[in-house]
Amino acid sequence: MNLGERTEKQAVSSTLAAIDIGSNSIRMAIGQILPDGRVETLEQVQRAVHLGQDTFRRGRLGRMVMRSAVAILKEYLRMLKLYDVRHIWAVATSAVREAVNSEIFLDRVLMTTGMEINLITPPEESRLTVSAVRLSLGNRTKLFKGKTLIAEVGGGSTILTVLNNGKIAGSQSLYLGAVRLQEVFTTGGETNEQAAQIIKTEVESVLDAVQSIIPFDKIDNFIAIGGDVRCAAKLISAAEDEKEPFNIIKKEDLAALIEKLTAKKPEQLVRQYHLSIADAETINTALIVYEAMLRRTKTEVLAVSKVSMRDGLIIELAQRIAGKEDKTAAQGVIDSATALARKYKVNLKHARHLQMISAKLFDLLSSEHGLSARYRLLLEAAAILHEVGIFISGRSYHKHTFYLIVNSEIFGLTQSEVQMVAHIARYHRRSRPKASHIEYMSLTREKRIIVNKLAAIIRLAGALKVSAEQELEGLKFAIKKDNLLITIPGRRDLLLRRSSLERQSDMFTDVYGLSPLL
Amino acid sequence: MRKKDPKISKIFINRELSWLEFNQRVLEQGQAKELPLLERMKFLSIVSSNLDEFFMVRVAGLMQQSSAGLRKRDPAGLTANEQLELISKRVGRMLAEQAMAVNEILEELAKNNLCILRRKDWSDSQAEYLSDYFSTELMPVLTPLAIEELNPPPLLPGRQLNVALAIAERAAGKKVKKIIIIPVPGIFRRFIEIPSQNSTALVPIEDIIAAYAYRIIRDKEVISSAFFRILRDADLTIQEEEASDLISMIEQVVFERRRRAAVRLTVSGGGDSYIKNWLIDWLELDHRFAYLSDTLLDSAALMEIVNRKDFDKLKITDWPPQKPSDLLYSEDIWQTVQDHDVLLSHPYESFEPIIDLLEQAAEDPAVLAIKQTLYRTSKDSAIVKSLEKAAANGKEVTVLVELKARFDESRNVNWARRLEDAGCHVIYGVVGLKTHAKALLLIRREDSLIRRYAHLSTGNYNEFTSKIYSDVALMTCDSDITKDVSTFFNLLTGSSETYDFSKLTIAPIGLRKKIVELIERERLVSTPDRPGLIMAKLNSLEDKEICQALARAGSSGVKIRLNVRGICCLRPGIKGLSSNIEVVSIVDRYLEHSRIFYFNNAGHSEVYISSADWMRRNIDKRLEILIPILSAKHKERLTEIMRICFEDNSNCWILQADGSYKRKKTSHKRVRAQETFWNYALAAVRKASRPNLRFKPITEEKQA
Repeated sequence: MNLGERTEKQAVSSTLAAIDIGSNSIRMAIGQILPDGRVETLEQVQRAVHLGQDTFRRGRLGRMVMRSAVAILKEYLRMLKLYDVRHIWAVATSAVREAVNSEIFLDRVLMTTGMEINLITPPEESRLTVSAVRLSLGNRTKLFKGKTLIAEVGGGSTILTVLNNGKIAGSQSLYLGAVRLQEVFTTGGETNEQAAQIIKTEVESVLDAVQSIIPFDKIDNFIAIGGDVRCAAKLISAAEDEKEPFNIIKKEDLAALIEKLTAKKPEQLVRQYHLSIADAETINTALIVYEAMLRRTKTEVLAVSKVSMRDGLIIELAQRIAGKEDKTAAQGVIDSATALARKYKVNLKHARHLQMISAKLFDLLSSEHGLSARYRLLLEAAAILHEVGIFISGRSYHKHTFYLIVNSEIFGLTQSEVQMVAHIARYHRRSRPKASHIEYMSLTREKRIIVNKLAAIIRLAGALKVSAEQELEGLKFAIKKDNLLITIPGRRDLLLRRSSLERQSDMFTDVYGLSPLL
Repeated sequence: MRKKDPKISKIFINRELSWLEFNQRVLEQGQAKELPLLERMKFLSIVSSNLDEFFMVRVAGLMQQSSAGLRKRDPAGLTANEQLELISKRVGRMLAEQAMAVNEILEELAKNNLCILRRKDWSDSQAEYLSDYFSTELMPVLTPLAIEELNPPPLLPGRQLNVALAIAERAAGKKVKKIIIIPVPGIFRRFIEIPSQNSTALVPIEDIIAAYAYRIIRDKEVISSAFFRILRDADLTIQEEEASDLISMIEQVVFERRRRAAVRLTVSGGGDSYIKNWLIDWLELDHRFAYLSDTLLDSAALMEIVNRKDFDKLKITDWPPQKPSDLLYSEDIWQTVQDHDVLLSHPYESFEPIIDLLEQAAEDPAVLAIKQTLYRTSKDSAIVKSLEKAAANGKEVTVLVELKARFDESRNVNWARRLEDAGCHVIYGVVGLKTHAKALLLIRREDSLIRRYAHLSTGNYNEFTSKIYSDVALMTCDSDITKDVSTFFNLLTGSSETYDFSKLTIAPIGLRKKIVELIERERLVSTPDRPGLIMAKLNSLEDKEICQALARAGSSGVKIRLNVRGICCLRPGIKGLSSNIEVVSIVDRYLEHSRIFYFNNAGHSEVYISSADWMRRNIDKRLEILIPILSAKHKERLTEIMRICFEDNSNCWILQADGSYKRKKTSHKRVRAQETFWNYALAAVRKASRPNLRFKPITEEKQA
């Protein structure tokens, strides 16, 4: 039985989309991969919806905002149809992530639009943004000399990344979002000037507190990301050069703009500057945060990047479709999984062997499973982590493995990917997936199929019980008719291995229609 | 308020008076002896329909202002009431001239066996025929209204022709004068053809009614009769709350239009002025706008005669639209647009390729989606049919239907519903802004790559007007422009609240700034030995800020050549203020409708086409597009079009410093721009159809 062989292959479309559900608007970018590998942006849209207002003030998303968010996503779905987009990466940041009822919201979106939203964490946001900024710079990396601060003031939080000569030195997420600041610290009863003053005070105190982690006074370059600051660049008519990836805003111009904007109501900004209502509501608060940070750095100017996290999403998605996973990102996932395995005192040698054998099998079977390189990465992470459950207890450790992984963060993987990894690792031994396994059944059909395909590999790899280095080196696989021929040098314990293989190859044979022969 | 700077108001011409001068030029075409009779009649008919709209919208607006007591002055320094006074007089003269011309043409037509028979002309046998016709055909549908006896008084709709009878009635032994009004039913043709030997004989329907009306009002004596026509205020002030309600509101407006105030009365015949005065009182009309006419009322109806299928020798020769020069060697339009941008110059070049393109797109499996603006479209539009078909074939079809196309609302509502029924996504525009841009976007998948095609035009997607309006259009798949067009549609559909345009400029977002900047840049780069040059071809120039920018550039040495078909509020030839500005206007067989702008920019010339005139309403209250022309070849072609327009000396008028226009005298060499363009189109097709004389390598021939 070849389970859902075509799930991944049928989508040959070159169009892709990134959706970003933020605190005060939902944005979408649609692009396509050109033959030369570049991504051309086809559409960029934004609609306002005040998710953050509810979450930051009451801790949960209200009925009305959920409804409007779903309506917007439905409208976006229509647009995705225009371009026949099948690869969609939809993410939600703090406003949804922090809501106690985020699951309900995600489920409703899934039910009404079929879209699966990934909740992404601040480190994830930071990574995506940095990779977009990197790409936009091309080979003009001189801006990365010395210490560079990349900052995005969002609706819910501000995400800071510090680069040392271009390499990520650390990232930090602050509870300084434009929507959050307004919702938590102002009542709407103040004058604009009073509100701005309250927010300024709060921003300064938060920045004082993180000075030890983010050394603002040592920053040489300040790159600003975000819709609000891009808007500001436009309002100031910062020197526009289509070829340059940045618009430069001078410190004094920024301060002057804030003063000008403080005096105006959002409606006036919409009329006068043709801002969107979402931008008009947050721009000034966001600029106050940028300005406060800029004042603490060594630089006199803000380099406003033209890219956003969505560009990062698009770039990574394009790479995944093309099967060209960013090597460094993939390595980051492996490193993070290894660190997690180490934390739970896993036998790392054992783990690495299983990782390598699984990867080998994955590559050999690529035409059978038709899965992209991204899933190879998930499989490898599962192999590395398959024994973390032993930390709790050796009995039924695969079950402990499952919940330990599910509740962990792996840098570079989305929450739903981490969940897949947990499932693959869980089914590396004992019971096969069953309808009575609640967590398994809660996966979508597509995901269950993928879990089956990958668990079958890891199970077989485990059954081989390869432990010595020389065995690993000589290990060979070949497909002949309906058989998977396995050659292990040394011929030790052949009998034992055959019986182990017999017990654990049932799933493999079911999924791939191949009988392993040792 | 700051006092008006007399220097500034000096360079402005009042908008309404300038428009009337445009109508005067149309009238002069009706008087042009060298034109065929029915062509002249067409222009005279247009004079009337133009004036109708002018009264219903502009004069009505001024009357509202005036009765509201507004004392605001226009840029030329006139109050509403002062303008009304000037308009009243100017229109009086115009109507008299028009009547003379109509009568003259009617006489000439009779000599050519096309006779319009008024009551006095009827022979006995004709009268007998018409009497029968009245009894059997007309009488059953006539509704005479004894106005004074009806309570509440009936509302006579505007634009309708009426017969008024003054009758004498005996009441209490006394003779009482009363008025009976018989609306002319709209279901009949205006001119009834009667049997006649050797000629075509047409009788105006109102003459038949007036002649035999006594039969309906028995026992009463008809003292006098007259024909009259009312125009009413049609200014649409719609409270736009929700776009979805727009349709029902517009239908309401069409209905309400009937009960609006009267703004003009024209009366013909009647002998004494009793009926006219009675009507003025009854309608509570400003007496300045009651006109007596001594020819057929509602000359717009003369179009019925112009449109007859016969009498070709009294019409102009046809200039059939040609295959567009950019598409002469095209076998596959998609491929052609990929290879190069396509510039279309209608109606010299045919509009068919656009209709074909849509037809093709509806069936093409590679086409994923179609987005289009429809502002005014024709009856039985092939475009609408293609869009319906495309939706039926599963394509995503988004149509922006602009319902506020002045007098076409009911028609627009009809086909908007039809499109909705077919499964198109129909939207009714942005609240408060009329969508005037003409844009078509086709999204196509080619070998797994998405490619977008845009068609951007200065004219509407209307098969009928595309044959009589001169417009230009650009087809391109330039990725920046198509992305901008896509963003433009997102703005229309409300799919997005942010918009970034890279090549197009959109009104009301950035158009004003852009135009003023372009003019200002020309002023700055202009030097005495290399003076700047701005050429603009448009329908109307009214925007105050742009006029001032042009005047400023002009007085800094920039040569400013304007080809403005209609309203031009910028007064040329004022020493020290606008002496460097030249304004011409072309009125010919096709309505000049394209908007093309040229900026010399110190030798790095820039050329644009646009849907927008330089009027405040277009720039601030409408969604419009300014399109840069990228191809050098097309820039040259458009510059050439403008150059030829300025050279025209047969259908060209020059605006004088006093606000009047003088027809250019034909010098030794006659130039007629529209004829030149048609000849160009014809020559291009002829050249393409000639056997291929292009150079071929000799080696090939030897092998053959």
